[in-house]
Amino acid sequence: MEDPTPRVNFETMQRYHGRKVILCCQINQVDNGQVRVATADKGEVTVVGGTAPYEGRFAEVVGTVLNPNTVQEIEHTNLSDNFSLDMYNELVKLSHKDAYIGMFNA
Amino acid sequence: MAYGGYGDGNMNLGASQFGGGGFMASPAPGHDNQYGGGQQKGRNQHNSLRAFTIRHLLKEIASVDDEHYVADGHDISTVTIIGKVTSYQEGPTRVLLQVYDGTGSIEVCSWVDDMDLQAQKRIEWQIGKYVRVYGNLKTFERKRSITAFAVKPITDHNEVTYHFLQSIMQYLHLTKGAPPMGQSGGGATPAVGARTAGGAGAGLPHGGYAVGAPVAAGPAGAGDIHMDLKHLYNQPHALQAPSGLAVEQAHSELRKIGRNYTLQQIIQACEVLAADGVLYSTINDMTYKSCA
Repeated sequence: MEDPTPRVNFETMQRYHGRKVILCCQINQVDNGQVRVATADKGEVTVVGGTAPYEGRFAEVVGTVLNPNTVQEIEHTNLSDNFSLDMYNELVKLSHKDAYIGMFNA
Repeated sequence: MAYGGYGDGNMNLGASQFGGGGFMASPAPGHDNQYGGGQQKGRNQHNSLRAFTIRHLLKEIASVDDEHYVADGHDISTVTIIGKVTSYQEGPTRVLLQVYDGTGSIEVCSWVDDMDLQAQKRIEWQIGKYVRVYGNLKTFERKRSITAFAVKPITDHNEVTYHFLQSIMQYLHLTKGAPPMGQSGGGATPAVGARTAGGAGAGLPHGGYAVGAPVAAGPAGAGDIHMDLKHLYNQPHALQAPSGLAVEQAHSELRKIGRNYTLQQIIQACEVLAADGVLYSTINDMTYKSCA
């Protein structure tokens, strides 16, 4: 079975330095292969290394955490423009609770 | 097959439907809810539909045999997952997908015997796209998979978030009982970590609820809504009224005896009782009479 990849916001991303994470975010700026994004808890992260185009306002980035503010992209999925980062943020917080470790193993 | 309140016959469970979506709160773990099967009597017993994370499906569910499974103490029949397609294999009569949701990966087998349909599926079920799967869990040679009868592409990605929240909510509902919604203060102690902010999204309780304390044993005003409604609708005045009682009347009469359910709870509970053949609707969808 493929290993779990935790869904993160800015705060929880810090626990996974060097590991693969799923980061849903709002795209702020695309600039020469680097994408500046806002995380679900209003943090700012730079996504590097992506090749496919970013479309729309939101994206789900799967990548490796390089440092507290940078993610090396493996792949990304463009999300619908009505995506709720607030609801996603609540999911991230819940998925990291011990009570639900059997469901997420984050 | 009935899916209770979780979708119509076409399984159109888009994100726009998650505001309510027919979730029927029940007071006791597994009691009378349509995703905790095995403890229900009657036609709902084998028609439960439950949302899972893939990890939960693969690691936390006990199998009775290759086709019967138990999760959180309840039989499961139909399951639904959401994930990204990571692999796509076409055969003469079926398509094999590998679906990954961030918690785990599972094989999904979908029988497609129409070549045109298969071509359409090739477009809809592309690698990297999110899909929702409805199907039954199977085990073959100790490997679990889902035999799907519906695989739908996701167009609104809030549905992905909603699915995980729904999985958590159903897990909690089945293991700890329904949340005491509409409490006026009283004794329900919010569990640390169980309370979420108001923007938590559909499916989560608005208030906290005591960890490990089923609502049936909770503060005054909670009670067993289905029992209360059955009792009310079997009162002489309700039986004798030509059209029965409207849900607003039921709401008002229950409040008089200290049962502080919200109108929405009563509406949902009446729908469950109607589906179970205890009540039937009369002049409109909001007025019921007892079948007794």
